Amino acid sequence: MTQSDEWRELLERANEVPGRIQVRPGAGAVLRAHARRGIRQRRAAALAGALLLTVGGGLAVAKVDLLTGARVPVAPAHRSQAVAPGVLIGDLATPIEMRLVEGSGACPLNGGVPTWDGSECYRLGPTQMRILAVGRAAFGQPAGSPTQPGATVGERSVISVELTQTDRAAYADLTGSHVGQRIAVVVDNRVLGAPEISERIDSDVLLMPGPPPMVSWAAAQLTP
Amino acid sequence: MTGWPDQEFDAFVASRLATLVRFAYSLTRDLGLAEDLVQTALMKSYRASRRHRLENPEAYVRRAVVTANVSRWRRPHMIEVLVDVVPEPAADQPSDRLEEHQTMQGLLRELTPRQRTVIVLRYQEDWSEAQIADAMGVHVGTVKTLASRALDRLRAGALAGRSVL
Repeated sequence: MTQSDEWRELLERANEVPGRIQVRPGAGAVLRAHARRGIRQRRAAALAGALLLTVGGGLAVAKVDLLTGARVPVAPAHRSQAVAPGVLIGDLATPIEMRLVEGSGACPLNGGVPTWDGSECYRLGPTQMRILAVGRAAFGQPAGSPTQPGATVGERSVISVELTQTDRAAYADLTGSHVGQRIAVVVDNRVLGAPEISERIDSDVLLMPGPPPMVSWAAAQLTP
Repeated sequence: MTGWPDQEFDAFVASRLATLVRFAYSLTRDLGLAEDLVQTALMKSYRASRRHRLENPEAYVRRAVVTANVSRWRRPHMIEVLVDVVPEPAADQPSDRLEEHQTMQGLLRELTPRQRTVIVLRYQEDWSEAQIADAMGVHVGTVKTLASRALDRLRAGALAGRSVL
């Protein structure tokens, strides 16, 4: 063994990554999509965790409750943790649309869009923004800690969606210019919820709390 | 050919991403950061492939990783904080090598980011001094200086009772 071989072996062993690295299926597609959208490189960190299943280190994100605008305290989520079932990454099967609420009432309502369970109908303005792909979306099942995606908050279940930087900016603009109005979150022409915008929401992660059946329904629609 | 065909890019990411992250980890010793650097490098390379043909995609991506890391520490507001946590050794690590392993890790951590980059590229990855200088955006002389200082520090550490070489 030559001296340089010895060096290489020493360095390689010293530089071994703690833990196992596994590439998520579809990682290439996520990267291509982001590269095409021309997201500025220094914002590539927004993708963190989207490519690998098993890595060390922590990722702290600010989460905002979509309904109340309240900030949810978030402990660093260790990306080394196993990914809970029901987590999806990349393109959604059907987009999440944001539309302003113009009126509501019992169904059938002329020109109205029903809620996911048909309990109520909304008259909605045009689509203000359309979320086509997410860094990560998780649905509803309790996952040990209330800070993990998909954890329950109180009795309710939660959809958590990690936004791309572009969507994050669009959503911040949208909420910032319509404070006090109600905004409907629409999936497959059904309203998931229509919270009142309490303040400008600028966050990487959207949380949509709701009853577990609503969360399951949304998961079925959004998962390819 | 210009433009990286989707299928080829996806296959490249699927097969090489883990290796690239390990490479970036050698430079940064921070896994989250390593992942970010590789993402940046892959996206840059994918975009670059539309302008000109990448003769050797992996070499191009690796160079982009080094460049991304250099621009990170060039930013004046960035301060590198190394967390002093010794990762658990792999279970199959022979115990007689354990001490050496941890010592080398400790010594590498004491190097400056630039010194570490040069040592890893030169001795682990077998890059030439000219290639390193090009990727880091410095003169070859600087690479030589960084390498020699880093080696001095590693040897000094070794002499201080810690058997490295």
